[in-house]
Amino acid sequence: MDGLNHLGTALAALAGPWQVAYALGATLAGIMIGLLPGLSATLGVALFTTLTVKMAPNDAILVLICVYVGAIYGGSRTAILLNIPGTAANAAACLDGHMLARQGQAGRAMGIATTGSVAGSLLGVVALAMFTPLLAETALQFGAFEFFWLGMAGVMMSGSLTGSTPVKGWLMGLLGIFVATIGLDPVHAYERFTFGSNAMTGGVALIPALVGAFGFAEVLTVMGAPRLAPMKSTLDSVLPKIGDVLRYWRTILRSGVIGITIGILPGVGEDMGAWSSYAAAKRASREREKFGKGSVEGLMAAETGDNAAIPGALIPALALGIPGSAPAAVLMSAMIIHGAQPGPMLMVNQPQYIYDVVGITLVATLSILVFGLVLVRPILWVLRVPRDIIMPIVFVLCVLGAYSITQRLFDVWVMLVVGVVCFLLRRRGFPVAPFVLGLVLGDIIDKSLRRGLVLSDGSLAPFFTRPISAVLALLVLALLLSQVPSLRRRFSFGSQP
Amino acid sequence: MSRRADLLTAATWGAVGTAILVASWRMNRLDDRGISPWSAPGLTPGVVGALMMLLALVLALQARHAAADADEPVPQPGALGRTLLALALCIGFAGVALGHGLPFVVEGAAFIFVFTTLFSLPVWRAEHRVVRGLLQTLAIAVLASSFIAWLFESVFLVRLP
Repeated sequence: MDGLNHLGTALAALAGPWQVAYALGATLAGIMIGLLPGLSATLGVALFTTLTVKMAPNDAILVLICVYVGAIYGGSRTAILLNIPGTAANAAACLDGHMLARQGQAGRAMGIATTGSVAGSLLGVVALAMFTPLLAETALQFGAFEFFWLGMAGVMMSGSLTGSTPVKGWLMGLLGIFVATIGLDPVHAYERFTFGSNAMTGGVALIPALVGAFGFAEVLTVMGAPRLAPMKSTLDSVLPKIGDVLRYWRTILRSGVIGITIGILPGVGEDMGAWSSYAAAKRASREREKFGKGSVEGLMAAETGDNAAIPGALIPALALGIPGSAPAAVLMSAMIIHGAQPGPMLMVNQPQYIYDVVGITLVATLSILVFGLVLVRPILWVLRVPRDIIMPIVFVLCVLGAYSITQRLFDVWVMLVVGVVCFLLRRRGFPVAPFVLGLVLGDIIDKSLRRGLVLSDGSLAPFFTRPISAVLALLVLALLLSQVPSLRRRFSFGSQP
Repeated sequence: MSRRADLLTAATWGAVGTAILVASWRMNRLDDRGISPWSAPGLTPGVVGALMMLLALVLALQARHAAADADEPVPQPGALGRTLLALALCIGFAGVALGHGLPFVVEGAAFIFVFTTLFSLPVWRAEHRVVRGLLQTLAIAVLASSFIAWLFESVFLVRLP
């Protein structure tokens, strides 16, 4: 009952004219970011974090969640029309969405993507409201040992599932943890790896680093790639058919559950939500042969899965302080900037906050429904703007985004250095998402490891013998062992569809 | 990825891991403050450095056993030149010009104009619309830079560099 009261309060606060304007404006901006190949949801949330620093906390989080949801949804447009996923989460939508477009059903494909996205988000919102308080209550029993393994599991899972080989992902995660240790040590305030520089004592700030990793690196990648042909497409009706929804309700439900579960796993993200849902739908379908050739069910599964993963990724971010995906990691940092303390104590200190986020995610979902049904054609003009114009403007925003939080040119240099390093590493097949998770979770891993060892007087036993620690340690161990070739062959450890 | 490039990448990661481990080992353990050695500031980065070395070794072994025909993908023609040009322009703007005299709005407009012009000029030439392209780009650059500067300065109260 308390939960419903909190949710009612949250929704009432979101009904003001400014809040509606923020929600619609931010969702539109998010859709445009998602539409443009190369601009990711993570970059969108990072850039908008810098733009919303001076806003009221709940308004800022409203804008950021709307950008996040809008970007993941918007990426399906380019996947359908150009066969280029606007964000990584929409790669699965290319398979059937673009085939439908080639068959002259681009509008229908967009309608299905809208239906799937909205259904996935709504299922996720329900899970967010139901499971976050439960998980937060359970997490009150967690100590340093459990938080150490949770952090490690997040980085390891992200590394395992986002790169070409897990070893490369894990190395990126470790790099992120190392970068997080630069600056004043959080336990004894000792300067680490600052080389005598005053600017370095504050450490490498998350937002400039993320803007570099996802913004500047992307500008370099896009400008190095061959020029794309301008979009030419005629659209049929974008209104989803009720028949499509009713016929595939099982697929929607299954994909929603898979997306939410994948989202909850620390550090895995929306793209895995889409691929896993797509693979499960293909296995269960009676029309398996249509998958990859313009299957409505396949597109529905992919779009439901990736959007359900968004609220899913917010569950561990709010309840444990361990984000479920890279954009959720940035969002969690923004919540901290705006005075919230995501983690088990959030439900004790700010119980209303969780329901505010639930209400905001619901509003964001309704906003994508509005834009998905009403403004498809006008929004697509953005695809006609050449990259030679968009990219320098994006870079100027990256520069000011990096600069604006603390107003130091040092942060602009952080953005440039991280951007160049991430660009070079990406060219060699190293994924950036584990780096982000490492950067965000580095602090909690560092503090938890050292506090745990002090508590146990140097004994590693509690890290492996406490029940929850043991489960998490086994998970990390299983991820490691999955890379031993003989074991992988024997047990057929996870391969991405 | 080519086997040689992967071996080189693994060696680089190994060197970075070693440097972090050595620097962490040599870091002050704050014995003089009487703190527990298990909370020494170098502990976590030291573990990270050691793990990096281990994974770099695994990466090198994987590269050694990779198929010999896994060659480097053929680079797109002109890709390196375009990337280097973008890199030079971005660093020139953000790392060199920014905060050294000119107002941000001017620097931003100049950057957008030069960037767009250099990358679009071949297309404009092919389509015989160089002058129109230049004028359009100038207008876009001035408008975009002015709007961004106004947004950050007046709405978000950021003192621009």
